[in-house]
Amino acid sequence: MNLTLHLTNRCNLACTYCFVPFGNLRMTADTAKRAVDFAVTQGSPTGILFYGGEPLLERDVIHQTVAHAEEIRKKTGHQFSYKITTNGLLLDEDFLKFAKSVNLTIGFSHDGPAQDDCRFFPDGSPSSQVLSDKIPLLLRYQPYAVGMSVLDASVVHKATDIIKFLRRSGFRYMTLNLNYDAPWTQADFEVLGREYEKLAKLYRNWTLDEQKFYLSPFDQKILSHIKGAAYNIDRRKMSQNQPSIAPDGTIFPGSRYVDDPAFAIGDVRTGIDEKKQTFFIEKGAIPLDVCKTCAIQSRCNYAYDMLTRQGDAFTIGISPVQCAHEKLLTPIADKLAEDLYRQDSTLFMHKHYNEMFPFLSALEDGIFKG
Amino acid sequence: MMNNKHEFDLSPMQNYTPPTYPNRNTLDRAKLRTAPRRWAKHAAVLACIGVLGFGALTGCAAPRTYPPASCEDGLHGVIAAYTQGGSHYLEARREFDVVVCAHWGGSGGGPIYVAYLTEQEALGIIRNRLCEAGICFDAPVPDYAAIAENSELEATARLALFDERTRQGIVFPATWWDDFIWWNMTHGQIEDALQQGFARRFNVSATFMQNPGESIGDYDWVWDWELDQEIATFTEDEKQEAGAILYERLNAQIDAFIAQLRTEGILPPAEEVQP
Repeated sequence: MNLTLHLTNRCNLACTYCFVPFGNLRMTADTAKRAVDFAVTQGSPTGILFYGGEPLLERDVIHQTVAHAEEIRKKTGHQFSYKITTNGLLLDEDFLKFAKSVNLTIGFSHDGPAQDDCRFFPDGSPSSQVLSDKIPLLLRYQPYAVGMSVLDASVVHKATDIIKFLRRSGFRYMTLNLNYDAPWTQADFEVLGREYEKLAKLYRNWTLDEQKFYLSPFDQKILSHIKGAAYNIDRRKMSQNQPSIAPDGTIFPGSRYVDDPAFAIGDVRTGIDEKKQTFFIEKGAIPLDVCKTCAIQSRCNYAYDMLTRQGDAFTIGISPVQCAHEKLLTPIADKLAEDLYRQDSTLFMHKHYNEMFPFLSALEDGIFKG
Repeated sequence: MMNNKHEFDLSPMQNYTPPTYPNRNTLDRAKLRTAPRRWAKHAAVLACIGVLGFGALTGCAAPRTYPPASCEDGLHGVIAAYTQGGSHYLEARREFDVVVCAHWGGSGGGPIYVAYLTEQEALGIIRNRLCEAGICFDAPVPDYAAIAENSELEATARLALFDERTRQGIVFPATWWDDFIWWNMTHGQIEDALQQGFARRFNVSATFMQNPGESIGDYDWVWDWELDQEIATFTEDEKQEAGAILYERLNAQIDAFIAQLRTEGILPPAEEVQP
């Protein structure tokens, strides 16, 4: 099982697109440990994602949680892995050394040239200058840290520049996710389409040059075809197996539901209410009628499991923007993949078709020594 | 929270021509014979892909893929069954359709090699053969878990394959439960407890299949300079023989399951199955 621990809804930034309502909630170390104990009952291995707000505001809880998990590992052999999503402001050598010692993978949120458009301090002052030393520090300790960007409608024209920034900064794993809640227009999507075409060219050139990288959303969308029918099955397994734990220990089916008590499915002290969990799983398994005839339904990231609520009624809640994005992205990603396939790009072939690629890649990088 | 200030409607994409690049099941595996140039200088990677061979990458004909398996990933129990509880893995090699993991440590007599099928291969074979017999485990696998426990330990099992129409499920692999012999529960007792759990909670009839494993090598130890320690060796013939044994053992389990389903009337007799 993979757990997302929402350690706090406090944050030291005030990003315009953040979906977490600000507050003063904090998870105690005791609650975090109980969450770990609960996850262990669900089988091995256990993945723990530290989330927020800004999770590094609760550094002590992180240390105590990992220490607790490592105690369990020593006694029982239960396997754990750790991740954190952070804005990076509080990263320092001490934490990076700790992260390295327990193999805690860091996802670093940064919007590159759009950083000061959307990610600033609560008083409105920019954050990019303060973060300028953090990226090289992070990558020194974690060359495989993930650079994570959110693309707001207001900065859609900077999409390519954001990825170029991350790449030039040294990130090999890069994700670009849309802020779906922004007031996107058709004109914005035309710009987005052009930006995706430019990014596709970058992707193509990097691949033909055999540079090692991962770029979402392209890699994920290509995988949605290459994995075939298993893509949504595996995604749905993952979404069903990654509950979120709110600061007070309430269990939710995923991070997007944490601020709505109607979606609560249990508590770390008492466990999961299986009836409720099954209820949401079954609701998430029924696609909307409009999706059933869609030619790319099996590859859509939103056809299943994205629940929304109106009163007591729960249904799939894919937004029109998400729908439009899937329809925009899929042909561009497919054209890119077709080109690389026709060119017999060996890196493309192995990256996407060789199931041993992650192992071989880790071997190449000296991560896996046996 | 959904923002309604947009100019889009939900509408299906129609008339989209499927892309021409293959998926993992339709790829000509010969395309993977050539390694990226960047690996040409990396001895360890070359050594690993050199033994992958063509056969290891043919995969199975199953239309469904599963996450890749490595010695570290979900196969602890298979190793433990042969290595008396040790957990240090030296390396993974794929020979044809089998994975061979070297093991060092534990309380056994020394390093050995164990050959076994990857979960991906094995589940693909199981699914294909059952579909030919008339029961296709096509449904998304629900996250049903059953627990067997005694005073000291708890074992959780989950379904690997599921057929919604007949409420049949397959649990795989099961060899790690051999560990429980050390704690006074027999393999049969564990399976019984788990089957009851699946039946009672989910109305699922669960069948357990084991990932067959075969110890290979004759303990003719040599010094491995790269690993800087002594390791056991095995011959090409032993590898080939091990592969054949693994398939034979897996197919025997599938045959037994099919026979049981026919006895119970869930599957028609063999001559009635339409292609």
